[in-house]
Amino acid sequence: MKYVDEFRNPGLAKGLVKKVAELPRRNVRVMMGGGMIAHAAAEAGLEDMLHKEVTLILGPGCPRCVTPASAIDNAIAISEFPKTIVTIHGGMTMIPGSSKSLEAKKAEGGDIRAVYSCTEALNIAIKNPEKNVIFVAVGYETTSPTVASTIIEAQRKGVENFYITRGHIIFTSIFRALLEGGEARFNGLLMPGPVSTIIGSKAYDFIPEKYKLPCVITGLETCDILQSIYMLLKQMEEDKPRVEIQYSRCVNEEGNLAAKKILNEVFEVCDSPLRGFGVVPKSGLKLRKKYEQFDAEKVYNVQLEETKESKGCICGEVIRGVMTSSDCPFFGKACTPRRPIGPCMVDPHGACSLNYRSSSVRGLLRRFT
Amino acid sequence: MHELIENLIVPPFKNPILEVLDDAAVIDLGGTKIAYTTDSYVVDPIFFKGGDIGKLAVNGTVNDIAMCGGTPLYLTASLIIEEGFPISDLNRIILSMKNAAEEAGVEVVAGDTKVVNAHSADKIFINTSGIGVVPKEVSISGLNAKPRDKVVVSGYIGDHGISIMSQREDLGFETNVSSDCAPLNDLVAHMLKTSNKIHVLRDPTRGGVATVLNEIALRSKVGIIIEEEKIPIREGVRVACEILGIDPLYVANEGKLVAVVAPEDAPQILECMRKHKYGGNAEVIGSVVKEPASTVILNTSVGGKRIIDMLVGEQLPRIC
Amino acid sequence: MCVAVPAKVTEINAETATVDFGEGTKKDVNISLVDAKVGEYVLVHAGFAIQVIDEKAAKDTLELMEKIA
Repeated sequence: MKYVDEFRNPGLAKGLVKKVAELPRRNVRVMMGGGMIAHAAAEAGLEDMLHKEVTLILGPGCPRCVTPASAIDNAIAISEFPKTIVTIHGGMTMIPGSSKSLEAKKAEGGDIRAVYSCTEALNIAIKNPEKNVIFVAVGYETTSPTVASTIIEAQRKGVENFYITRGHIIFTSIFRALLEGGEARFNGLLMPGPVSTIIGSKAYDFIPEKYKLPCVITGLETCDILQSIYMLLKQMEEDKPRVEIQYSRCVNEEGNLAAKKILNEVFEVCDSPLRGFGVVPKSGLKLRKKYEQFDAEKVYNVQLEETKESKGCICGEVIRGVMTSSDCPFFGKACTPRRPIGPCMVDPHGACSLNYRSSSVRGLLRRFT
Repeated sequence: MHELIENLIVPPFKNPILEVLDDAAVIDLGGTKIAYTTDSYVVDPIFFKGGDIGKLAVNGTVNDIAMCGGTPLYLTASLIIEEGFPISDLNRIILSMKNAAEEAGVEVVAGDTKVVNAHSADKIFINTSGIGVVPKEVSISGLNAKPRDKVVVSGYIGDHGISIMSQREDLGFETNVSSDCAPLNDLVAHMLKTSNKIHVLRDPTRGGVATVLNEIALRSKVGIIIEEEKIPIREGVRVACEILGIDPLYVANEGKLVAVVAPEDAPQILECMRKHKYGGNAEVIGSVVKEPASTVILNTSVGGKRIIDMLVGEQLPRIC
Repeated sequence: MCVAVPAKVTEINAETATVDFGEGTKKDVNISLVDAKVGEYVLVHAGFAIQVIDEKAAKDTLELMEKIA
């Protein structure tokens, strides 16, 4: 695949790993600001290869982990109404709400459908005029412009049975909250490429400016991540923290202006509860008055609330990078990918799910080789 | 699903033949070993690139028997048809089953047909059962993998699953990939003539190669290490998996087998497979180790390692 | 942090484009958020093209990687 294979070249990757290992800094903690970075690193087994030089910390960034449990609870509550179809991105169906997931609800008989795009949800609404179709909005600016575009299309087509829930998150707000909290200890940040194509690199300027942390916006292929780690270590050597774009083939300073415009047209900023952080100011998006006929909250009287985690579950702390999976009393014992308790383990990109697969490898291999 | 089967369905039927839980039951009937199996087919869409539910039903059961080293002989076919199902579609499926049975060298000797009310079944469901004979000296089972054994796969993985997924309206992508639905009994017969040191045979259907390897690792209480660079994956499957955000190791196959064989016989078994119509792209993808037991590890192409778990939940295409 | 995959634009019809991910794997996506031409590569996410891929920048990145490695 073009623009994918070249950046996964094993020979090139091995060379980059060597060069990272040759840099003088040791015991550097790099926070991976996105589930996809963590996932890509885990797929390639990078953590295992770099563990002497760099510790890759899993932080917040995967939207499924920071989406409050009430978003799922609300979706479940809505699905219990008659003539209602609840649609949601496939990856969200296994995430637990306060008591169960949408997948579990579907097994009980709810009309809950996994969709690949918001446009599909709109098409379902058009094909089923006698039912209400609700799209559960989740995700950052990679996804929210696609939803905004669909809302405008719905209005243009005069669709009256289509609604969205409130749930989009402003990506940088999570990191503002994280850095404001001052808890997590790391030396540099890797930011995910896809969301950055929309918001632009300038959105991250506050990270080096206010917190003096190096920041690199990375592509998601193996060589991208390795080069980005190299760039971060170089910044630390030079002691000149700044925002650098490794993913220059898709990211620029301003981002995608058309996408930003459409976001601004349809949504306005609001406060939002985020799992692990409580209510974070200016962290969410809600529909502007002009488009409130598509607001599921108005029709179904549901609200987003702060999450009450299961007793003992430290997903909140893990999401903020304050504690790691191994600090959790349940990790690997009561909480495994087969029997998960919190979102960090349910979600295949969640910190604990990834840790389970990679740190186990190191642990296992150390014991037996 | 695994838990449903192991905790709820199997226990009441408790008996030593069932508890082996291989693809078919191998029963000693007065000195002759009989392989006996059943499967139900509920695939949607019923017609897809490379096959249909009928072809799947015949080959699926033929393959279950072949995975025990048995020669499949006779099949039964039960059809549950939704009222209003087009006769032309039914004809097409029956013809397809006839052709598949002919190719596999089996006969359909008994059957049943039921028509149910509209919405009581989704178009058509097919159940097939099959019976075959296992040569006395052949002992192939998920329990038999040994450290140092080689793991062989018979060709490109993921074709069937991707072909099916591409025809789901909601995923809306076009691909050249066809289902690999095929009978494997002839391939297995050739392999058995070449070597008597084939320890395990499994066909990686639902849950893919990853699931089958995990099952073998668990049953035989061994570890399995596979090399990412050796796994044969069609470019079209790789691309489709990228867009869907799924791992080809977990995607279903309907015309492939995984074999665990003694290392000294691996080269000749591989050569034999590669000469066969359904084994042309066979590869040795890994080996069995003593420890870590019950674990499957992948050596990545860049030199890292990761654990290949059992599939948890439905493999839903992700976007986020 | 969501699956975003590069694909080549092969056809444009108003706001919809047919894109090819390789090996004849095609999909129709919404092209209204980017300014893309047939033959260019775009990044696809959730049924939309979200950015046009800068070919020169991609080449430069690879060159830099090769220099470092």
